[in-house]
Amino acid sequence: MKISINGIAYEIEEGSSISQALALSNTHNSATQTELKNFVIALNQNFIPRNQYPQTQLQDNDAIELLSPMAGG
Amino acid sequence: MPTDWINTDIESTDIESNDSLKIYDQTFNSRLLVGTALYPSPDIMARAIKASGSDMVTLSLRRQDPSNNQGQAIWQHIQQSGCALLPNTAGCHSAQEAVTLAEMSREMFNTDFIKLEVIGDDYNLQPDPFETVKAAEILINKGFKVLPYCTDDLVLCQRLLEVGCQVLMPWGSPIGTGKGLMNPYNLQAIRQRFPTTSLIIDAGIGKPSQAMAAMEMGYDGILLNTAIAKAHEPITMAQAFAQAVNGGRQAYLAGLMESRQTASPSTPLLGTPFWQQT
Repeated sequence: MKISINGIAYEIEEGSSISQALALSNTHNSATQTELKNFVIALNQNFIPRNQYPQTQLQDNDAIELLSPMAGG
Repeated sequence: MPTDWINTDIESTDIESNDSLKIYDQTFNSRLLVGTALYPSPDIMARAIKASGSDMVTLSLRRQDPSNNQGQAIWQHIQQSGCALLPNTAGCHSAQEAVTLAEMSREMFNTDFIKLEVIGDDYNLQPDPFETVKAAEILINKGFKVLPYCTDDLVLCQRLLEVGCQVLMPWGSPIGTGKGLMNPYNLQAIRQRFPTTSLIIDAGIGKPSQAMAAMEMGYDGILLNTAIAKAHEPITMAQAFAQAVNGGRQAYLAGLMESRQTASPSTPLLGTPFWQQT
């Protein structure tokens, strides 16, 4: 199935979790190889707490937003 | 020399030392809150924050950009500053987006404070009053301490208080314009209508004199970013704003004189020399 992480498309096995998606994206994008504490996630515009990454199963066309601290006004 | 003058000075100092900015259940020594964006470098940002004397800084969450390591450097400097964190929901255009970003911010920054920002129009970045109230109510029910960025509309402010906001942050003028207090009448009305609510002017302040004017009006604090970050000398400008905010606050506490339409001599008339008399 297809998912996206920060707008970039990935192919991933059916029934994969958020944790598996992050591992997948690590092979493509070094920016996600940071420690877990340095980013937070929304799935289809819904907040997902860190402790739910392993058990949150993804569906086809799911969109993950992976956000990190940035300057702001 | 009359000693009562000296006593007056001591009393004034006591008033100032007990004077702090209340944001929900916390108090802050500085009444100046500063943003962390647009500085020439993370190092200048850190030094400007220190020069401002601020106890609370705003920041945001954004997509990771592998080509830009400055985000991590800024984050490290902010953590080292020791300031309280006020994450924002900048860029959100709906209540749902703002709520999601607030929840992500709470996990990332470990704070219930959130600067709620829901934009209704991209031309002047004017907050959407309807979505802002909706998001504020949801977030307060989720345990957030919401600091809503809002327009200077009295009824909107009333609605935000009704859903549980304890701090209001009306704009001086649109974000990044530096136009100062666009509508002093409205801002004064909000101050007078809600005398015990912590009111912070957020956005549009371009000069220290504008920040001072808001503080003289009785506003409790100033939140700004661009005016410091885009100054030729951000660190010096941070100091200038700190002094202006303190000066405005002192003036408000001291009590401004009533303005008058007609002139009134300040030098006593009694004993005026004969050549002044007609």
